[in-house]
Parts: sequence; structure tokens; C-alpha cells
Amino acid sequence: MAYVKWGFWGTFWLLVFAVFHYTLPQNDIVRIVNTYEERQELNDWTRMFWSSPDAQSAELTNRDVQFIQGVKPDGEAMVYRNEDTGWGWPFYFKFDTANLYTEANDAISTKDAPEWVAVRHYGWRNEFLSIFPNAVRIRVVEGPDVSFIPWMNIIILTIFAAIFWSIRVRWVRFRRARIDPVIEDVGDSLADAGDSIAESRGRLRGWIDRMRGK
Amino acid sequence: MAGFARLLIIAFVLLTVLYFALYFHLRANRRDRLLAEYESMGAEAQETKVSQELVAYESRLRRGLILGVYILPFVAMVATIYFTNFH
Repeated sequence: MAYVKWGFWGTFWLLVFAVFHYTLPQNDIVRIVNTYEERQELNDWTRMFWSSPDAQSAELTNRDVQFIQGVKPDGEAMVYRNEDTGWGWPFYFKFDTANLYTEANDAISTKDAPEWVAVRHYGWRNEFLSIFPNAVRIRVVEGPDVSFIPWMNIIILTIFAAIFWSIRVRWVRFRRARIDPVIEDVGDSLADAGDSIAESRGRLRGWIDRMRGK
Repeated sequence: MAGFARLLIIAFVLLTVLYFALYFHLRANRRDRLLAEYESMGAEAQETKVSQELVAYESRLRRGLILGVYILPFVAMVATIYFTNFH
């Protein structure tokens, strides 16, 4: 039974971690190589990894999506999509997709004269599912070795931990004060019931034995 | 603008739930603290004193909660919009 409990909570926290890892912003240093726009067919379950079009019908299964192609300092390719998040989840309120596209095109550079940019993005890149992280901001940086302290992530995670902890403390207190005594009472009355059943059984058996002439 | 309206409505509903939950919870905490503080008085004097202080607390609490639960997320949203789109 303990395995079920641990399994449940483990899955829950894994899900929470996955949601945070997907939604919170990360920074990548890349050299932008090109941009393109491609029509996407969004008619299967991976639809959740793409933005939902605000002003268009929710039933629209294909639309044009902009992409930004970059190369990381180690030579590995990294492709971002460029979509509005609009007023919905995740709450980046990104509306300036076209502006970002222009900035990305402005930052295109070659291998000989690289211009390194920091791309703030959220989401996962998965080649098998063909999903791309959504670029939120592009900023020119001096070189490929710049590092960032994720202040926003730290603040958000601290606030979440504080809220979770405060709720948990109050829940434990409540349980100790209200629920545990009730469960003890229930346990006591169940034990009493068991005792009286055993007693009745004992008496019944005695009567049967007497009838059988023991 | 339908998306904005939707966000406002959903946020308003959720924040109102949070507001009332926090209001009653914090008020009950305050009441317990006051009762413990005025333990030594007689039952009636304690009741009057506690209810007096609670009334004073309520207006402060209401103001603080409106600020924290309604205004703060709205300001955060506006700040996010500014820094994301007009950096």
C-alpha cells in the first residue's frame, strides 16, 4: 500500500516539475542563422505544445508558424518557434511576434563574423514530437560565454514553495486537530464491534456445543 | 480582445475566491490571538473588547487584501506586458 502512496505523490511531483520546467524561461546563447515560416498541421495530441490562436477558430488545424534557426556555441543546431502567447497560458503576454521576427532577422550572422545573442525561451525541443521552444526575447550579448542568473525563476519558485509550505502546515495542523481524533474514534468503535462479534460467536459456539451434547 | 475579456473574468473569479478564503482565515487567526491575549478578563468584557478590535482589524484587512489580491497581480501583468513587448 505504501508503494501506491509513493507512486502517486512521485507522479504528482514529477508532473509539477515538468510543468515548471516547460513554462519557466530559460536563456540560450546562439548565433542566429536564418528564419523561416512554415505551415504546420496541428491535428494530433502534440497540439498542446503550440500556441492556441487567439483571434482564430479553435478548430483551425493548420496555420503558418515562424521559426528562428540558431546554432549554439558548440555547433549544435537549435530551432525556436516564434508565436504569440496572447492572453492565455503561459502568461508571458507575448504579442510582439512580428517585432521579434524582425529583430531575429537583424541579428543573422555568419560563422566568420558571429554575433551572439541570448534567446530567452520557454518550452522543450523534441525532435521526435517535432515540438519547438517558443522564443520570447532576443538580446545581443558580447560573446558565447556569457551566463545568466535566472532571477525570475528563483523568485517564482520561492513564492510557489512558500505558498505550498504555508498550505501544508495548515493542513497538517487541521488534520491533527480535527480528522485524527475522528479516525481514532472510528477505529475504537470498529474494535469494539469486533470484540462484541467475537463474544457473540463464543456464546453461539457454546450453545451449539451444548446442543450437540458435548 | 475576447482573450483579454476571458482572462479578466476567469482571473476575477479565482481572485475573489482567494480573497474570501484569505479574509476569513486571517480574521479567524486574529480572533484567536485576541482571545488568547484577553484571556484574563471576564467572559463578557473579553467578548466586547475582542469584537471592538476585530472591527478595527477588518478595515485594515480589507484594504490590504484588495491591494494584495487584486491590484498586485494586475500590476504584475502590466509590468510583464511592458517588459516582454516594449523592452
